Amino acid sequence: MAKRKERPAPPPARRIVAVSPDDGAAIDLKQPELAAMLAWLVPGLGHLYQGRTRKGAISMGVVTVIFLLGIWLGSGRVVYASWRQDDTRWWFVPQAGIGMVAIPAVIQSMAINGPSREPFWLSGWLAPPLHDGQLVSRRFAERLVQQDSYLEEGDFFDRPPYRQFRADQISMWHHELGRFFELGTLYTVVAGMLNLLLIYDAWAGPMHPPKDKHKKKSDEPADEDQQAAAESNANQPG
Amino acid sequence: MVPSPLLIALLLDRVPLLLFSLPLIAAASYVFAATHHESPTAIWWATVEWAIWLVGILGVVLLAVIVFGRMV
Repeated sequence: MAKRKERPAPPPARRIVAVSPDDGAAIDLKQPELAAMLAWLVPGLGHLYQGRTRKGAISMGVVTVIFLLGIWLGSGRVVYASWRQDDTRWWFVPQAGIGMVAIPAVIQSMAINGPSREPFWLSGWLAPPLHDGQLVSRRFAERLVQQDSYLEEGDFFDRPPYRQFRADQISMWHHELGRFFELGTLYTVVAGMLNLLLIYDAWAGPMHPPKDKHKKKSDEPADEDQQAAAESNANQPG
Repeated sequence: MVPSPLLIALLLDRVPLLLFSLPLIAAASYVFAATHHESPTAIWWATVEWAIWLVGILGVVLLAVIVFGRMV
């Protein structure tokens, strides 16, 4: 009877583990790249995926609260993507540390500057401010006049099939919000930057203190003991 | 020693700044601690330590801004 060919054993499953600097326990990072992506999309979600439940929940709460405080202080106007020469929104770069707002903001920016001339979400949420001479769809122009108290019909020229904005919306926002525009920007920027640290933690585990520090501390008592032993040997008669 | 009215006025003028900066300091302290530790107890104590450091550093910066602002 012919011997059945044995299949080669499958390679061991890849297991990425970090070490807790507190108690030396292993931290199973599962798929670190996926954890990092989840952490970028929603703060703390990467940690929850890895089973680091408490840390993930608190991180999610802390970063989300700071971000939402920023949105509230800025009346929802401080997060948008704009690369125009007179309104390059560099603050969007750190704000993009949180994917769940970065992606919609980019979509809104592309849509309003695209052929449709209106944002994907018609409320204008996360959409960049209109500038002088910008063409927008009639539908969006009517929506803006309805929902924003400082905008009037007279702020738009008729340019069929579009309407042309004749003011500067960013100036209007600054005038309306005052210092709260900057405060809201600050809060959302800080939240985005803090999430970058959490993404790293989800990808690689906690950062360890330098090894030399630990080695020095553990070596010192041994050196002292050796010295004491040498001195007592030297003091013994004979 | 009683602080001068001027110093009190300068500090009170900064109350909004202090109010709005405290949540940011607390959040930053927690995240800095959480990225260096894993156990909840260690994270808590490291958060307190980081908060003290951040308040101290930012306090010195604020003091320098006030002093240099008055000199100009």
